[in-house]
Amino acid sequence: MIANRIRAWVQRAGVGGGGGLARLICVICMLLLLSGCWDLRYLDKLGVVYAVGIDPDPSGKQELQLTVQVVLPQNVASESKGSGGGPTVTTFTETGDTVFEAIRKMSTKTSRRLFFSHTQMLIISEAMARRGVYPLVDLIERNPDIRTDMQIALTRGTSARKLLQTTTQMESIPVNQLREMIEVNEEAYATNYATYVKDITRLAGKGGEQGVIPSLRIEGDKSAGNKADNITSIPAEAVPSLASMGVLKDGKLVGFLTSKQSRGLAWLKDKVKNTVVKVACPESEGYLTVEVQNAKRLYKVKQSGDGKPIIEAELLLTGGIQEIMCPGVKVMEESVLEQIGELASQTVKSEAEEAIRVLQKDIRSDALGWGKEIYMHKPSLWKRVEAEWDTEFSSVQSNIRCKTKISSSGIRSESIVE
Amino acid sequence: MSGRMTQGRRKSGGTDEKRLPKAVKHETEQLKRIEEMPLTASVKQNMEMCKKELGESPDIIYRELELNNGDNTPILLIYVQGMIDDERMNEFVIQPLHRDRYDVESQAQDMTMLKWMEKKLLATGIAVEVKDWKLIYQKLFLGYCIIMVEGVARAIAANVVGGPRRGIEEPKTEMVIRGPREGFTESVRANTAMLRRKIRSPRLWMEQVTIGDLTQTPVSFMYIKGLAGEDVIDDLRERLKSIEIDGILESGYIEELIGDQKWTPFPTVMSNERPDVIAANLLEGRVAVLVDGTPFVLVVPATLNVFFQSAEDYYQRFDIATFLRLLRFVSFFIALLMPSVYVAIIGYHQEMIPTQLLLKLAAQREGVPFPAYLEAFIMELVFEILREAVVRMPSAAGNTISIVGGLVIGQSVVEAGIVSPAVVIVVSFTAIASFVSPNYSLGIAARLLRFFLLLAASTLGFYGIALVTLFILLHLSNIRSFGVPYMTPFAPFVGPDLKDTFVRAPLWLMKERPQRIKSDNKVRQQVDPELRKEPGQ
Repeated sequence: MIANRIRAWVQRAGVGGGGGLARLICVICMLLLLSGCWDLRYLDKLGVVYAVGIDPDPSGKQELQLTVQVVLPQNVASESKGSGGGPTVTTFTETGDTVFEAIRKMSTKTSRRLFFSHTQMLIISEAMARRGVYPLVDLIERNPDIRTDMQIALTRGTSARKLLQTTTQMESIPVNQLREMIEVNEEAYATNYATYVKDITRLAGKGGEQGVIPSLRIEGDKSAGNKADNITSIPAEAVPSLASMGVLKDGKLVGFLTSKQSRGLAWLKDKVKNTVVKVACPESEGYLTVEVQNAKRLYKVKQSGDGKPIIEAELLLTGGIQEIMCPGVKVMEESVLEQIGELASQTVKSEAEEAIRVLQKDIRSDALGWGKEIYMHKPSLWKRVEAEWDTEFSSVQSNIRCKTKISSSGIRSESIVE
Repeated sequence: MSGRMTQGRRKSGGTDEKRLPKAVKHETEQLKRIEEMPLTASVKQNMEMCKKELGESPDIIYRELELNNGDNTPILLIYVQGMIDDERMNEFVIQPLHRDRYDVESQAQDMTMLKWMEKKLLATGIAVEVKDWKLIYQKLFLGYCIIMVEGVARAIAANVVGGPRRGIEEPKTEMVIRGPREGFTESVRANTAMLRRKIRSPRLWMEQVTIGDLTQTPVSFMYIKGLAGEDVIDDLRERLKSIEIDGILESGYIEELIGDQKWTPFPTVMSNERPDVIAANLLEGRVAVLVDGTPFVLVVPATLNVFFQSAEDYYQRFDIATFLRLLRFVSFFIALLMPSVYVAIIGYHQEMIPTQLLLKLAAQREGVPFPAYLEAFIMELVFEILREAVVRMPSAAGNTISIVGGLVIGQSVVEAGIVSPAVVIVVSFTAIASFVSPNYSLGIAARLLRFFLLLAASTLGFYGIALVTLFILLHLSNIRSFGVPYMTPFAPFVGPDLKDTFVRAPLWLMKERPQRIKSDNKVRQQVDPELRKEPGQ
């Protein structure tokens, strides 16, 4: 059909003859090839950037110092074959006034074009974060090649560069270790939870919620971190580890929570998937552990007599007793389970209240997103407090209730401790 | 052979006559002259004429007899050696003619000699009177014996067709685990009988035409009266009759000459060598075209959907059949798209691969001298060559080819670092997927289009794939098979017909025949009383 039409067209155009169609097809094919694949990128000519770290320029001449961790695929592959083929990643460092400038400046050192579509993590050093995170992530939001669902983390007591240069044992690519560390912690203990670049850049809506970012530090001999020896010793001489959550205010780092407070925040942000709560035994010395398997947070916003907002949070937990290190706990009795549930609730409640206290009084940043809750539950009230929210937040009254249902006590009944 | 083909489906003889090659024109004229010549009453003269026309070919036997009726009337038998059954010839033709004495009384006065022979003497199933040379030659080369009698300017053609024929065997294509094991043979009559044995209904009608100026190939088409659409039958009859060609050696000739669309890689006529499949299609109201000399029977109208249906789909439980049907559709798309998607991802859309996979692929690409698209193109080509070689190879050499192909190309090339392992994986997987298609002709279409997609993917990435896919889709929506849109029941959308597409619904749900194949009777179960009537009532 179409071929017939083309042929008719060819004949009308006077190319004519039986070979007209064939000639036309030839021309079309050549045109296809001539178009020249303008954005063809050879996979083996790309340097896949796995992580980006941003520090202040140590010489102070320029705004920032950028470090990229680039994967060396040939070494990643040879590792699985069993022959040690050198490091799996390498880093490049360059200074610049803007992030993109520094990236392009790196072309003086790299044999391959840097490729950012697979970047897993953005690490911003503490000092840089205090100056402001927003300018640093604009490139990530703006550039179509870079994903915004990369994780973001802060450093504590070390530089992003050092952190990216530290070799790791469990994962051959160090960034994988950092990234998965945060995810595992979020799922098992919840003192940190993963934050993505898009979470930070999309906070600008109504309610003025402030961002929180997990932080990383290096344990052990920091200077030994970048050597291959680091991972041949047991344990590694320098080990990157998770610290706690850092709180932003208007895109600038204003303070860190402690681990306990971080988890308090996680309860209130409904980020806890699974964690353990340590509870003092009710009638004897020692502790027992409750594993929280399911946690749910419900917010209600009320209004006090003088027109101030009151936040009412309800935490509904389900868990099981996983460990009893004291005698005399009769887990076969329903009342005992209820009692333990009550004790766990108190612990969780105090953690949450502590986080609220620190955020309201010390850090003074609405990382809880209460502004947003008020806006969503009581828009009229939000209109009244919106202008003064910065100061208002510190005095918002809150009421935390917590209920824990103990659903099991493991596969053993009475404690072995007598 | 096809070079000497006169143009098929010619409508008006006048203008095209000039375009015929000289040799063909000459040939046709000569044939016409012979055909127009009348039989003479003299046996000797007829024999001379025949010998002259047939070039004294030694396989044509002229047996002269004399009838023991007192007059010693000369009789001439003409037949082709090898095409007749010698025993039947002796027993049923020569013996009756050769009797010692004829009871002249039995030769009724009101019967002519020829009629008497036909009615009383010859013991063959079919014996017809023929008057002109055209018919004589036609019967002669079908394996009939021509009987001429002195003094009569006519002849009798007696059916003693025989000679070696391949028996019924299990079909080599579209094998089934469960289902009938018989396949069509090269004899059109045996094939039509096989269909009759499946559908024992007076409504199974057949028509026959002879196609091919030189090959005189009998072509039959069968349909179930009252089920098949009359317009499809008329259309088919018209198209078959308009074929003017020197020879038909396989149903592929017919397929190409009666197909609606000349410029398409997709088959618009279905071919199959399984009687059960053809019978099923007849029951759905389609028309089967049987060509002498090939076990492949054609079915029209054929929509794209038909090519994904396998005989076994209906012999297995519907849930299993549905799973296999889906698998077949998926495989088709893999066979069509996988190499091009690979090339597009590697060359343009690296951000779309999971990171771990990207690293693995990047590591494999280290040090490979060719760009990915060239690599894929070369490997696809090598595979096609290999496949063609295996098909044409004497089967004894097949093992060598698979060792050379599998080991040398699959392994050494990768180990030498000339081609990345990923491409070999992609190409082999594509190859396996392309074998899943139950119908060979659709598989070939996918093979061909794959290269266009590969070209588009290597120049324009996913955009190119989308463009070509769109083009293919447009094309598919544009073609028809005997008036039925090729994409039926997807476009035009026919909801009830979807029961036998991506899924194969339980038989107890498929109460109606496909609606869009122009069938005249839709109800499949709760048989329509109309169908029980005898035809012609």
